[in-house]
Amino acid sequence: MATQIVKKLLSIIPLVLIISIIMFALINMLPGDAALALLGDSGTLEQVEQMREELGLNDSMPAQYWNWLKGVLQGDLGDSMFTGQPVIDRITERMPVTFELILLSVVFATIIGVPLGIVCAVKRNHMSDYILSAVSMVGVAMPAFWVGMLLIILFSTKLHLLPASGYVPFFEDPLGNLKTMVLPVFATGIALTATIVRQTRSAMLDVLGQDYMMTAKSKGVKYRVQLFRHALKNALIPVITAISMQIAGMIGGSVVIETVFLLPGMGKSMVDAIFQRDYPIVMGEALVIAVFIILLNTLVDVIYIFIDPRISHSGKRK
Amino acid sequence: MKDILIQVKNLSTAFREEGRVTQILYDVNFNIYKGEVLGIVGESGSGKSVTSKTLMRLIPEPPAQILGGEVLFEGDPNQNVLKYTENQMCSFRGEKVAMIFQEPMTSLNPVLTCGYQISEALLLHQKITKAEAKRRAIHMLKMVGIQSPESRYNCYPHELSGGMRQRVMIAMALCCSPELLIADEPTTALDPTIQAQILELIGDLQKKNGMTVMYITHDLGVVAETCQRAIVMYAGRIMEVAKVTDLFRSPAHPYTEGLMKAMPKLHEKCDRLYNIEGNVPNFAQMPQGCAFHDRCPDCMEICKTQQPQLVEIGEEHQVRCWKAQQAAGCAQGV
Amino acid sequence: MKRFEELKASNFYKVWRKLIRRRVAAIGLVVCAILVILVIFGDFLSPYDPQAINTPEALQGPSLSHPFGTDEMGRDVLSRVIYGARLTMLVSVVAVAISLVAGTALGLVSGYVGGWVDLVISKFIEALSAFPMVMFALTISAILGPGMRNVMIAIGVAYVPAFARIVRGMVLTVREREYIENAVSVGLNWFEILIRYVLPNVSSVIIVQASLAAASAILSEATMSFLGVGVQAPEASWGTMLKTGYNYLSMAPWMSVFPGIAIVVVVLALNFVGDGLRDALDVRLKMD
Repeated sequence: MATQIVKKLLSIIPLVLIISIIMFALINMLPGDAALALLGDSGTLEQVEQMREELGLNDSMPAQYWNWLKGVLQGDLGDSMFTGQPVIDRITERMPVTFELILLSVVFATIIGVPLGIVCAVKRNHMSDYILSAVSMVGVAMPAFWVGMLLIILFSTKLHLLPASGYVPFFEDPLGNLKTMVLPVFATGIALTATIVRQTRSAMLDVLGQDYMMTAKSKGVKYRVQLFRHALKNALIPVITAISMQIAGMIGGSVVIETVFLLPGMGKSMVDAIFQRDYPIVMGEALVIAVFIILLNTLVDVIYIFIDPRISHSGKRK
Repeated sequence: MKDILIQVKNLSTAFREEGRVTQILYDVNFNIYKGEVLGIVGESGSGKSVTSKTLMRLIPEPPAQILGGEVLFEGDPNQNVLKYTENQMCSFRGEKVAMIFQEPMTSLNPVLTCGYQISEALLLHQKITKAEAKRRAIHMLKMVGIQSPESRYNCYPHELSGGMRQRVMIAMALCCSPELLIADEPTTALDPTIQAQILELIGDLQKKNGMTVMYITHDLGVVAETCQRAIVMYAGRIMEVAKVTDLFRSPAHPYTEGLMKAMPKLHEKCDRLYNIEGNVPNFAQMPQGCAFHDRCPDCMEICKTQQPQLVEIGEEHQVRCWKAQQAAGCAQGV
Repeated sequence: MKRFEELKASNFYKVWRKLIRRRVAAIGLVVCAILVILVIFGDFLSPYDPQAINTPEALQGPSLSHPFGTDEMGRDVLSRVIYGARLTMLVSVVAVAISLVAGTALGLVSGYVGGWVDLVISKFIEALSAFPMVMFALTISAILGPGMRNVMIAIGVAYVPAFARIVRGMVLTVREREYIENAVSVGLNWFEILIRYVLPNVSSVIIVQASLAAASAILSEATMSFLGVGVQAPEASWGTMLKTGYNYLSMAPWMSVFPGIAIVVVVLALNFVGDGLRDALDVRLKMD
């Protein structure tokens, strides 16, 4: 088991390198450059040239990449081209917001989605199944930021219950923090909840039709125990896959949710950086997000090893 | 008179799908006597599996629906299994009647250890501690012939071969010493050498514990080797009931005869195996009259219009066939 | 040749029958048909000129004359939603076409040729999949600059990995079949085998994925336009309408509500059709 986990961790390295190369290539295709953007219209040709030299923009592409990568390996992601703030500082400042948003959304969606999915499967073809399935179809079809806008209309402008925007760090004011996070978390989590309901439903239905469920029943196992001990553990495997695949999408979605709710997170920061062509920030944050997602996928693979005994032997499922 | 363990009376089961009702069992009547080994034989689609699953109420309702009839435990009208509450059902299953299934590869839960699955059954039905349950589960594994049971206790099903898994299934079914073991095609999915071992194992345990066994099979060979009495089913109906010796010596129903002929024989040379013309009728379109008439080599006029009843034609020998009844001189009606 | 045509026709017919027998899929198809009508005949069907500025009537709530209300310049929101269907659908269809062609080609080559080609392509796909699609598309459109054409390309490119991954997986299973071996033994070259034998076998997977991708492309377009890199004012897509609506959230909620509902309805319909197709064609999308 340990060797498998190590193998999984080692397989991350080439992926991260490829991602950094792709990002670097993309960023260098961006039109205009930071030197021009920084100086605006007022800069003379010499000033621009000097600025380029200072920023290292005149080096060859591989050299620029190599310099950047060397820095990364020493924990230095460079400085923002505009504020001079070290990229790593910006990331540590913005990351907790996005992390909190994603974490709360996943927790919220799982707590709501899994039980509802079980209800759908158990009450298959009953009214409650139809209603829940229909609602979850709609949930998947709604743009998250639009849900956010509807929530602002309802809870902020009409009912004045919750703030429409703003952010208070959790450790300064836990209650205030949660209050500002309710609507963003709901907006982000609703699609995931819907996905989890659908996945849990189909996985449970699949498992309930398996031969071993009949075996459990024939032993005299009570219905509730059949559901939770014999069926759910099997059904959770595809559900976890679905959640892990959704998280990448949610981090992408955080870009626009953070814009709607004016949350100072990584998504918002990255959009701003893309528009300002602040290469080091975009590169640094892209790298962090990609590594985060790859680590997450690895973590899910490791979780499988614990949940599904079939994996630890064959290495791959089925 | 032998003691009745389970009496099945006029059992009819149907499947309801998209508003259409298809009847699967038609007025099934039979007894299971204490200590006997009974075989239910039939082609796939004859309703033999549904019969056994209805006994334990394992078929999912809906889509299945029990239209009528009774399943009386020990023949006692007050112990109708079909009227049991959910709680009564849970203590009936596993404790009184246990079942092993056709597919050992898929009948064990892949995410639970074999040991857990056995001791779970013990803990359900007996007031014992977990440690005691584990001890007994290991004892059961040893009894069904599993090497080094202590280490196998913590194995997951995928780590065992098909034969081993079927042994685990047997251990699980027998751990609470049920009065009736229903074995639904227990060897069909196994290699021939393993098949014999499993049948032998069930036979040994049956003798040792004085348990009743009901085999569900399409294989007359299994019936000949293991059973004392056999029920032949066709299209949801019982066609013939007889002691196995009588059944093989003088089969009364043309369908049973056909099944016998279709069995390959070791000592006779033959160029081609016999097969019964035609197919099992579709449940949705049952022919009028005898369900077997359009495949029957001895079909008479009456067979096409009127359904024969199950009639006693000899000692413990019943048959549902006009011709056999005429031959036995006990034609009813007409 | 004629018999082959007949077979294809009857096969298509069978799938069609299965598809419309499923109620939700049928509803989805009807909604899509209505959408196509709106896209083609929008000019005749919309009550007002979607671009006609009428400041005195700005920011009016839904009423009989303006069922969806008016926007900050007094333009009729209903007419703009109808008009916006055009650009939204155009972006979605073109983006899916781009990713379908490029992704299928990559997946076919990667899965069939194997070896180091497969290694490079599949590692590339894997790496790109680890990056949120929206951020990827944003980066691309930052390179290309804002505008409708570029957002189509950006979304199209961002969806390539998903197509490539699914097609590659299918090719790997199809490749082992006997008829492929036969084709090889007859001496066809790999390009012919890919086009004539492999592609038809993975086509049902591609069709299903395309209908689901079209739905998610609409969501992506809305997101991109909302962030300001998509369709630019005064042109209206549903995404740009939401962007404007965001600024008038408390004053004129109808400006955000109705374009959003339009998005939900169309995405829902496309998902219905996609799910229906998946059942009718008996496809299981493998996500690994």
